[in-house]
Amino acid sequence: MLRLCKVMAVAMGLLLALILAGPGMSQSPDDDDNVIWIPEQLTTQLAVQAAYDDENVYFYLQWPTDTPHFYHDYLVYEDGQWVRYGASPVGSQEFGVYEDRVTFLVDDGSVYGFKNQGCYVTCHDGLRFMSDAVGKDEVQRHAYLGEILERTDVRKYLPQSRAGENWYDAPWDIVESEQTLSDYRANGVFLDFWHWRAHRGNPIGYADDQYVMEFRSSDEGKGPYTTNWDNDLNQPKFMFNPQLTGQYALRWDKVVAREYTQDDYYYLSEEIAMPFDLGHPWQEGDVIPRRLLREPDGSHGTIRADGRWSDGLWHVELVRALDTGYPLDDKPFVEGRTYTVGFAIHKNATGSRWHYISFPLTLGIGQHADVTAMRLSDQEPEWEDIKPVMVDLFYPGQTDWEFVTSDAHPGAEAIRMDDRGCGSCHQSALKMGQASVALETRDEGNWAWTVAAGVLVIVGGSITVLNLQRRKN
Amino acid sequence: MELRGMLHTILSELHIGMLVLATGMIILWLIAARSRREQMRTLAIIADRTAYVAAIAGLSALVLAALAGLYTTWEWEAVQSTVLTRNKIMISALSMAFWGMLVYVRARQGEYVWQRPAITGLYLALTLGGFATIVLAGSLGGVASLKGTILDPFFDALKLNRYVMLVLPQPINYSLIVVTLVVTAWSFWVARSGKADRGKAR
Repeated sequence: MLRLCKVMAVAMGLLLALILAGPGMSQSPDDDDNVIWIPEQLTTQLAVQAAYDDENVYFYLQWPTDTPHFYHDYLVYEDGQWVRYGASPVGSQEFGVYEDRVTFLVDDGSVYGFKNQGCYVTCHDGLRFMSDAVGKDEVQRHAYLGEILERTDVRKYLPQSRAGENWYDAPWDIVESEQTLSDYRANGVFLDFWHWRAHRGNPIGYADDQYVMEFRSSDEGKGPYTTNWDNDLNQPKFMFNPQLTGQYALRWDKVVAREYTQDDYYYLSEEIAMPFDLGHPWQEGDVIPRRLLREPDGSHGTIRADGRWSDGLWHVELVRALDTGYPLDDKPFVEGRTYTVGFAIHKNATGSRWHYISFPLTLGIGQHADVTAMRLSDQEPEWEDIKPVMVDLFYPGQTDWEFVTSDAHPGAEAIRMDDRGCGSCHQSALKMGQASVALETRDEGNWAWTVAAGVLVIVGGSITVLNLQRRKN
Repeated sequence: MELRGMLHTILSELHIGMLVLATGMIILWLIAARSRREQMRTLAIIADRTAYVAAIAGLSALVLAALAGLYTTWEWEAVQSTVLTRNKIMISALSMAFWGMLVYVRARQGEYVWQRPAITGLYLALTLGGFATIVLAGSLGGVASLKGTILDPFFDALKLNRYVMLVLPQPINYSLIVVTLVVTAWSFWVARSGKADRGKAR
């Protein structure tokens, strides 16, 4: 009988241990059907430095990544056809052909909620790559997003661009009138979006320049890349100029082995390209980049970039005029003023929402702030002389604006009142990451059964011991 | 809301205090009962009775604290949808089962609980499980109320993520339920047949 009791005690202990084993015993968090993929590391860091002179503002951004990803979106010659590798993946691209990125949003106080909640104001139910992403047909039928903007998915937008009952109500499909959107933008109600990409821009010295209002849109003008694909002929438009690059194409086995370095022609740009030659004897495994880099212009081409990976870190310098002269697309930086910024990075060959984000920070132009842009006496900043600000970033999962402002979120009232930020409750980036993953992977069905099973084992086990003792007596 | 939240806090402090007292008294019994000195034996009797009373009071406060926690702290939707509170509800339910069965066993067996090794073993297992679960539930409450707990370094060192839903795969849930029901039913049959045998023997 004593042996039985020991067995029961061990069984109870095992039950507790099983439950507390938590993630190991719960269902796998990765779920392709629901586009769920959880990164191994929930947090990372970004070192931020900023400076300015009479003309320009400078940012120097560094973050760790063991393997830099600067290959992106390639066409591979297979069985007589060009096959695409590196479309925006769910999670990490299996061959590593998706570029690293650093981005940040800038607000001058015009956007409701951004000061306290940062990037969360832009992230909503129904965005592409969310488990509840709005379907292509539905977006195309939408009077504004589909018919006027000609979009096929929903991307970042501001609550102010939606006609909700309260300022924080922001359903994707109830867009303000075109006149209201236009008035908002004229009054500076948008987020300036600095978007550095390791492949689509960096090799030719540019970052993308975009803004977020009713959609994540590109600034006016020509962007730093275009698509190298001829839909009519079903073939690339351009290939490498062998006289300039020494190659007609890259080789897929070398791409997979990551043999092309930052100093090689792993990208295709206008300067080194020539029209695609169908008559060339293409070999199995030949690779042509699906993106053609080009000199941007207008408002779209205002951010110069110089990024290089070394010693386990990306080092990216971004430079832009304090005032670009495009007030509908860019936020001018004014000495003495303070702005709010929210940073994000993509690494490990991830795209879309598989990024790490920061809490909002203040950026002061010659003004004390979380990140203080130092005034330069010379033209060139000496980054060694400026102390970096270490910014913690976390994986945000699918925690979106609709959740954080709903009754399901214990801190919703503070957000609806716009008087506190996420960090006032979630005290660290790690805790934000953990809470975000918990929300993304929760499994309520199993939960009730686990509670029932646990209680039953304890009650049933105890009664069994009592019954067997009765038998003995 | 502040006042209602306070009710949960007061009841939580009360049940944790009472149940820790019950655990302490049961440990004290284990020490005192081994002694041959009369004073220690008296102490063991007092410890046993104190543990019993403290367990009843603690269990009552635990149930009331759980109800207060469910209905008077956060919005019901937040309680339901937050993984941390789901985990806390689960651990609290297990705690209620441990302490509930402990009180039941003590009520049924009286002081015989210490005289039958099998029942003593069960009693100690329930104590251990009950104590571990109230500590865990209290720790989760500390995290939920943003105050943190002294167990935080322990959890961090073990890389235990308290935001991950504590669930078992469904096959394990079903297996546990079926096996427990079968074994418990069998034990009733065994107990009844033993009673019948004794009746025949008389």
